[in-house]
Amino acid sequence: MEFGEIVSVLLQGAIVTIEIVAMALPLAVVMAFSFGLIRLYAPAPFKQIAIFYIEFFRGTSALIQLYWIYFVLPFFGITIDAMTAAVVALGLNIGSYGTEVVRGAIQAVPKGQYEASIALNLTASQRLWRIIMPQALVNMIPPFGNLAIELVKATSLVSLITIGDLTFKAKSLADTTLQVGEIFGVVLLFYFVIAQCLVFFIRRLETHLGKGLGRGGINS
Amino acid sequence: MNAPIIEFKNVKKCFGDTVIFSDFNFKVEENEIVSIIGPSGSGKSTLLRILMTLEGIDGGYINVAGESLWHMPWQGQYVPANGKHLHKMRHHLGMVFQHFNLFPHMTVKRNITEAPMRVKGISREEAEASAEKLLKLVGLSDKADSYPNDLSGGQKQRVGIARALAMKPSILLLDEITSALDPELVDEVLDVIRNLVKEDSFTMLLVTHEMYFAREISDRVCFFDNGAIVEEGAPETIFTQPKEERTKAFLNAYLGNNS
Repeated sequence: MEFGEIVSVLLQGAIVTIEIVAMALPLAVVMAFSFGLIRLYAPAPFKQIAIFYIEFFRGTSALIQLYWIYFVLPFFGITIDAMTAAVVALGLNIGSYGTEVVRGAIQAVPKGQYEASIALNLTASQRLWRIIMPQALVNMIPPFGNLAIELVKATSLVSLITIGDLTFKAKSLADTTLQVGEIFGVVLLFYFVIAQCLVFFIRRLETHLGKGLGRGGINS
Repeated sequence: MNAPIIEFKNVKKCFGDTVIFSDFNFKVEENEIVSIIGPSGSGKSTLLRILMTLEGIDGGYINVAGESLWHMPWQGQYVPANGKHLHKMRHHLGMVFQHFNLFPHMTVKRNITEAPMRVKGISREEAEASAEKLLKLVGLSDKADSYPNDLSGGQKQRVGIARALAMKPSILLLDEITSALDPELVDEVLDVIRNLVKEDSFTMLLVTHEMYFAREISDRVCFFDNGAIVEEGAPETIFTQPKEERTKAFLNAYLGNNS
């Protein structure tokens, strides 16, 4: 098979991979924020639910979660297509890690910031959204960046539930053509490029949000 | 004579097993400037933090401007205050912190306008006009658009004062506002307070280690030790003729033996 053909087949797979990332990442962020805030501020029973979600999705294999949602749930009368299953499983899985990122970043904002906002008589929600969150967001970006890249790599699991993503296309091409060197070389490069695009946006976001915060670091 | 603007009655405060106040009584009259001096860990800052509602109390009552601070009337009795009551009571109070606690993600101007706009619903134009006046008062008109991290400690604290004043509190609490500053920056901050009390009347409660400043500015000085007022009186009396041995020892350590 010609190299150009290989690349074009793999490109189709890469687009599927990007689609999954593009849908699972927002879901993960929504899960991370909602359950992170529930974990911190909600009444006890809701907190317990949040802790259960976090520990369940962090503590079990992402692949098995995917299998459950795609293969096992139909036995309980819930049938979802492979793409939705992939997005839900990966979004919930990465989101469970993100929850702890949100919680940690909020708790890392110095106590004096909370006290100053109380002294100025801001309401609880103004304190959170106007004072604490803008500072916490900056602390969240690097670990969220890590999770976004984890997500890109975790999408390769979806090839096991019949989705034609980058890994799936690569494996089937390799099985038929045996040109493993070219194929897996291109696949590595594609994953790398997708991850680097995310890294680029994350850096931009960090610079934008960090304005005025005078963050530490060692300049060479 | 008017009722005191601040009154502590049999207040009890503990941190775990550590008792800060066991039965604390204290009054401040309207427009009185009271300095609180004393060794570290004697409960000076805790007193201000309780007033600012940053710390709760474990017993007793506190009145601020004629209303109970930590309690509210409910069905004929006094019950612990809810958030709404505390929010109402905080309108009387403003606080300047030892470590400034400016909001680093906001410009100096936004630091000052944020609370008046969000809490008091003042328009942006009005809030900014008032911020400009306050910045002029603290001598930082040219720093309105800077971020706190680009300022010196003394400048930060002057912004901290402007930010507290922007809410127009009737009681100003100053919690060791110069303790985190380099010695050469202390006076620029104290000058702001000096000018402030010259131009306007405030009820002011300050915890300080600047003995000369306390002596100069206060109507009354309270010497605190172990969660109680050991000795209080006019600054001249406290600083020149202290009666209690503990006060003498403390002042000697601070001012040197010749004072």
